[in-house]
Amino acid sequence: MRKALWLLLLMALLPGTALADGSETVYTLVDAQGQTITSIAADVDVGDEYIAGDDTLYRVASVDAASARAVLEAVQEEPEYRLASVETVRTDTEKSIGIYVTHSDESYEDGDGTASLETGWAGVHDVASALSEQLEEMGVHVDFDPAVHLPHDAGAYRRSRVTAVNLAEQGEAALIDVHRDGIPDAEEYETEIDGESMTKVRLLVGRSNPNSAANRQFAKKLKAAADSAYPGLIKDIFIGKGNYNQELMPHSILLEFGTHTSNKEEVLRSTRVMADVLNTVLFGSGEDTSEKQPAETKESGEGKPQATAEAGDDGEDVTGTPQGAQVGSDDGAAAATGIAWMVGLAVLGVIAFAVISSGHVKGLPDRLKRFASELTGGWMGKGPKDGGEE
Amino acid sequence: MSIGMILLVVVAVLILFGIGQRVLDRLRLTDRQALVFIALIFVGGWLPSVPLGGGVSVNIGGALIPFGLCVYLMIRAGTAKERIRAVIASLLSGAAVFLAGRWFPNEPEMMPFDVNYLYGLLAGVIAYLLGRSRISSFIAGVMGVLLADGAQAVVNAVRGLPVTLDLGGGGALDAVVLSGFLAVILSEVVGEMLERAAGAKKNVRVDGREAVLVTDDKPAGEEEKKGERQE
Repeated sequence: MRKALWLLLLMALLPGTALADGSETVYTLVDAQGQTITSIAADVDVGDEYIAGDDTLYRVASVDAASARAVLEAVQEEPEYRLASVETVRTDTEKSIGIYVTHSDESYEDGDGTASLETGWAGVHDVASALSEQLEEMGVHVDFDPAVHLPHDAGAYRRSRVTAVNLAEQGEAALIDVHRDGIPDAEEYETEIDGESMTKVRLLVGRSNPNSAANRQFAKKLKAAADSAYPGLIKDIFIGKGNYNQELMPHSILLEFGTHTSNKEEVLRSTRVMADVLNTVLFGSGEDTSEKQPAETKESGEGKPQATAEAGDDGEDVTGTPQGAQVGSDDGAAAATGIAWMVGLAVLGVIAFAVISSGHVKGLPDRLKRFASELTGGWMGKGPKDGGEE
Repeated sequence: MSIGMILLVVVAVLILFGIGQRVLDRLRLTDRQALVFIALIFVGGWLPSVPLGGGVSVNIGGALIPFGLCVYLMIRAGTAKERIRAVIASLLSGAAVFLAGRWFPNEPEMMPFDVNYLYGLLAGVIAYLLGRSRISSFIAGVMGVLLADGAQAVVNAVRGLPVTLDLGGGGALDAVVLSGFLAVILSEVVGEMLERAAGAKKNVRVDGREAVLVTDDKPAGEEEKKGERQE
């Protein structure tokens, strides 16, 4: 017993999992011909999906953990990913967005001097703060919670869950978790928009959550809007395992602003255009939300087209075209998927539990009836009594 | 937000509410007591956390109500042995959760399952091995996360990191609550399966009605089951 306690103490004192210091495993994603598609500082699993910058949808077919390589199979290039028009999520709530930072140490070597800064305010906080300021300038109220969730270990998302829940309870239209990637090659993130050098943004969606379909829909809308107004801004969308606390809200997204080797100034520059994309997709063209108007053509203060003003691939000018019905059906489909999954799992769980606890399937309807009765404290009528235990 | 999205959120909350009520019902509480407690957890979770000073605050639904329930269950525990087991299970669970945070992969996609469920599973396994009791499992699940959070806050303070601690700040969706629920479910499911596999429980019919014949002197979680049926 004493030895076990000493062992526990020793394990507690030893350094834990690696920090975001650029030492994370970087997976190379290749196509069937062995051509490199991209790389990502995250664990990749079979079944993960990847929507490339050109909207090609890939699925991870095999993974070789030893060499950190994953082979992608091109699934399709769905027209759905090539949205002919920019849509708006059109929230009925106040123009308000919640922003937080789960990995409170993530920083940029070229700007912060290190990839991981455990001081309570790291490079990624500067990015989140800049994104907040840009949105505020566009008339969006931002609740930026700079809460620190150190250390950068397996408990970070549990700690940031508190922050995310608190923001979600304030009725935000969306929750943004700001990160930076950990791939070594900064060039993968370099881009030029409107003559300015800046970094790309990678969108990350967790597929292990009931809101996954809705989160994915949101990510696709962000990419479509950005591709329309700021081509090259969105690097890609990675849909991997995990939930990243995205089950808390349908409009939750994890944004990777550059990587640890990116130039921080270029990263900060990308916050302006990303803020415009968020504003457009969530609230329309930046008009007063009380008007609840969909996207319209509008010139920004710098004379650049805002993310709402583009003709679609089919040449149709969508300027000023109401998109509500289309958006509603997209959201409805994503919501229906999530509800179906949750209800299905709940029903399966109840049946499985009823069978396990009684040891047989006979009399299952009666047990389910009693379950429903007990669930409501008997207020929905008494269930059949069988005299046994559950 | 569209009606579909609102429905999605509402359904998620209702399902969690239902699961929570069924879990609490297994803890020597009547159906209505369980309903009241789960309602308090949900409503309390929406209230602002109570500051305790020193950067520490506590959420009513996410920590205070579950903690109070743990105290209530400890007081009502059948034997001193059961209480001691619950305390030991809580301490071990706290250590396990703390170490899991340090030693498990730091990215969710590297985990075989959602990291928020890990703590409940750890607590459930520890509590079941120690006490084979649902009550111990719930206490270990709740206290394990609270103790681990407290330990991490101490470590951060020693290292001079400016981290605040909001115990159970996620309300009904916090790992504290989820861990307690999951530990009970694990204990219940695993316990039932093992007992039936070992022949400790058999289905019989008495006067034409279904019943369970318990043949073991001290089957898993049986102590608290006596109280569960007293409605």
